Amino acid sequence: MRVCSLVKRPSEKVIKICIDLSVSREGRCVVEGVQVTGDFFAERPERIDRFIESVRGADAAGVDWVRLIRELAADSRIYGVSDSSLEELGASVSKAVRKACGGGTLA
Amino acid sequence: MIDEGPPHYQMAVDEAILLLRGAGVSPDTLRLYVFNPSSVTIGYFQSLRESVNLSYVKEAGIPVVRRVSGGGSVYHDSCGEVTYAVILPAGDLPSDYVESFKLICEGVVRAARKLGCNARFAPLNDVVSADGRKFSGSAQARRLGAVLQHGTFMYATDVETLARCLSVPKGKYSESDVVNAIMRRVTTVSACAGRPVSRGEAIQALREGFAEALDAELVEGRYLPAELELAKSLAWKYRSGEWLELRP
Repeated sequence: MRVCSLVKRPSEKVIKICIDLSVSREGRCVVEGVQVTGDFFAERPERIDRFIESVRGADAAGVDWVRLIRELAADSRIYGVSDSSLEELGASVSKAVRKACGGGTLA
Repeated sequence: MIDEGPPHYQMAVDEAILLLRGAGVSPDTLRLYVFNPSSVTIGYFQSLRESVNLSYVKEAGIPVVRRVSGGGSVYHDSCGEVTYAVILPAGDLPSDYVESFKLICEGVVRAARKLGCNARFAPLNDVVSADGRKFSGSAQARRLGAVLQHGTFMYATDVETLARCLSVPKGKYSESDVVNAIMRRVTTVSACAGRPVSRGEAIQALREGFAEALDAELVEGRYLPAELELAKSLAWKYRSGEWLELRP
């Protein structure tokens, strides 16, 4: 299944994160893929692609999405989206993943 | 001399000059060019399907290319839009991103004013008429310490076609709702000035506007052999389905 979160504030750019989730044989909620899209800017776009690779296969419920998105924004030097919007996005992704994964397995 | 050509060529030349400016080979550059045929470009991070009306552009035979720069989707009208590209060292621009956009967009603002359109910069990356309707949007990419800022100057763009290309129905909004909403927010320099503006006038105004805004003496030149060579090898990327579908 896919969970998506986005933030769009007036005078800011859009950033959207979609996470594809599946259930492993052990019943874990696993990140199959991540898509980061929007009309924002980034000084180091390749870091976003690297981030996507780094979380593939991770236990979705065990990932600190707020911290990860904060680090991603700093590392790739995203601009056009405020820090508070990125925090909001992190919290929204975290909530969406928790809801989808339930107690660690897909609800 | 205006450089007219297809979208994969225009985007490859912009990226080649960006990389070679970063490597210290190319000089500071202002390019003025026209997409021919009319084309749509999308931002590096955009989802193709969420940013372009694919059924419309396919039917109308309008090519779509993904840019190396961020930002949103753009319709480039071969008969009503001139695209500019400014390539400079990052160190020559303000470190604040809004200020860096503003400095380069000042060239567009001055060009529009020369043509009789009372324009202003609208953060982060637009230039709008006095009533707040957009006729220019810009995008940046940064590589190897150099900055590419390219953007539109819609002197007589067919705004309805623009709206149809970019109208992706969202949730409760129908395609016609989205088309109308876009048309209300967009204008052209001709409409803003209240008179028809020609391509020649637009180009001359942009040259003068950028020279003033950047406090630069412009010297007309040709592409370096290295720029053309690199652009040729980058063009395959812009033609490829893999690049376009990078974010489906």
